[in-house]
Amino acid sequence: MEKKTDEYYIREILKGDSGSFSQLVEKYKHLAFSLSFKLLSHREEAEEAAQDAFIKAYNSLSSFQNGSTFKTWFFRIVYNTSISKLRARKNREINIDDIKISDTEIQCAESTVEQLNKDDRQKYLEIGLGRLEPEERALLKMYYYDDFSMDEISVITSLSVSNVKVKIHRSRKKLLQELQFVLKDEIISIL
Amino acid sequence: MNQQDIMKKWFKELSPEDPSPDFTSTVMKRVMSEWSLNPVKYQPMISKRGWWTVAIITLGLTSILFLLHSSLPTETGSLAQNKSVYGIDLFQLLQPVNQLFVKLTNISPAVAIGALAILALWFFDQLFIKAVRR
Repeated sequence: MEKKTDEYYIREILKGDSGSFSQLVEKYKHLAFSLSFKLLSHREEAEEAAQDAFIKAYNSLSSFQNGSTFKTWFFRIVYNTSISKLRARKNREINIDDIKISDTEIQCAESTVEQLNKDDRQKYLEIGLGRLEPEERALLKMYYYDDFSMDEISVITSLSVSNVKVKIHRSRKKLLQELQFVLKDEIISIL
Repeated sequence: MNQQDIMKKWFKELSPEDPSPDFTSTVMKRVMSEWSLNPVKYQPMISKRGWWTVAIITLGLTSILFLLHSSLPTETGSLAQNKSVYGIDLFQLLQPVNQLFVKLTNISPAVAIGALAILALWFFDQLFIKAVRR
């Protein structure tokens, strides 16, 4: 079957063919849910937030400007919807500036994780990510898993590019710190 | 491998998080209920006002052409040859119009009355439909 572009489906929806929206839902539901889940860490809430984001996108589709890609525009909605849900939950605030980890410790954590087998690495990475703040998790996921560029993340999160860079760098450091903590026993056994 | 690549590799190894199987249908149900609250109405390319404008312009042009037809000579002669503007032969240009009106005047009264009756019937039918809808 011929693959149509997002712009084609958007035109069809705006003409009155709401059914075309299902094509966009199918295409982006995994990424939307995944980002929402990284922020909310709760399956049902993440699913609800992703669905709300799709409805918001549908209702404001006429305001979508072709200057940006639909993917970036839509992910901004997903991010904001999930953040709103998170704020409603009134999560505790942690200052990510309080990260004190040396370069040697980073390399140590990295090499330890690298030496693990794939399944263990997956398991510990999930644990490490679970110990991060929602925003940190989401930033790392968008950059390392979804392959969004710094510029795109900046549009999605409404942060400046330099701020995104700093936050991703700090989040990565914090993840390695958490991994080092989780893997303390593993490091001892290796050494 | 640098730190960025290592991190990318680890993240790519993570199993994807899938939404529930009925995710799309739930979204589409909500979309359809939103749509039913405010359905997108069919917008004709030419509005009613547009059609009226076209009708008035057509009527005006027909009237002008009819008036021109009555002033045109029936035969090609010296008078016709003189009627040229910027090298365009008006006689040649208006000849088809002339012939059309000649044909129209040759239509038998029965056919003309029949055509008028059909038009009147259509007009009153539209009028009746509008009255019923109100």
